[in-house]
Amino acid sequence: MPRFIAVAEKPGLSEAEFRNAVDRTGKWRFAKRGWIVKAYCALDKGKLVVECEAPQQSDFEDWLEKNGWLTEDIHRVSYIHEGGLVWPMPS
Amino acid sequence: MAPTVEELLKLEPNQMFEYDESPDIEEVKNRQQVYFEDVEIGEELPKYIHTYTIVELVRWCIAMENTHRLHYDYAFSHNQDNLPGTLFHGTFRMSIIGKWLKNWVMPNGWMWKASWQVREMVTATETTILWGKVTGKRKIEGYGLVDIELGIVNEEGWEGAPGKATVALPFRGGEPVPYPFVPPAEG
Repeated sequence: MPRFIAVAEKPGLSEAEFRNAVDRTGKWRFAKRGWIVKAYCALDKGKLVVECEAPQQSDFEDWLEKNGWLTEDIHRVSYIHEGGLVWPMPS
Repeated sequence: MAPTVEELLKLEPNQMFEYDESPDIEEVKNRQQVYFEDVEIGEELPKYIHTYTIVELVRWCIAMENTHRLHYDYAFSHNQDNLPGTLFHGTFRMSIIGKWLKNWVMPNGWMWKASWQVREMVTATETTILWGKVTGKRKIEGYGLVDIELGIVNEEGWEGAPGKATVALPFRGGEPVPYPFVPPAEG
């Protein structure tokens, strides 16, 4: 399944709002085949970086929109570095 | 009266824990026998509500000598196997179902047989509810048999271990279920 990464913005984003977006399974695993892998937030600037696996980019976009997070940029990921290893993502 | 699974699923996970019926060690040691006559069709068994942490998954990996990384290595699970997280083992589910049935029938009953399927990915951090409902009961010579429908749902109600079991319970005023247990002819 493809991996996507998005940069998003939500001015005034709070910790509570960020937590609320992923505070139970049905929120972060939003579909049988679709889940948020990681999400990062910088509260002071209202910026987010979010990773997602989903069959279609539009699934991820819908999730971001549902949270009121404005997508600035979104990409399909080719490779990931984590823990000293490089992992290819499905093409 | 304990809430039903359906009622629990309307709660937030941290609220669900208030209704966890897992016994502590003293309750297990001092367990009062459930007798065949006490059980009614449709009755729910005590629900065990728990969030399995990655520490518990690692401990199970060690116990089972199952070192597959999808159970404890987030990077591998996410990036190699493209999974939502580290997965709750099928064998771990098997273990807790056995313990739960044993706890319910002890000290003088017997967990005769159980079967279930492993479905749905359940990851560390998800809250799970181990549930069961009595679907049938019948007397045979010396003790009674109770049929149970069971499963382990996560906090969203996704069923991860649909199955069934049959346990043997003593009659009130009767003898303990014989040990070693010899299954009745019905198979």
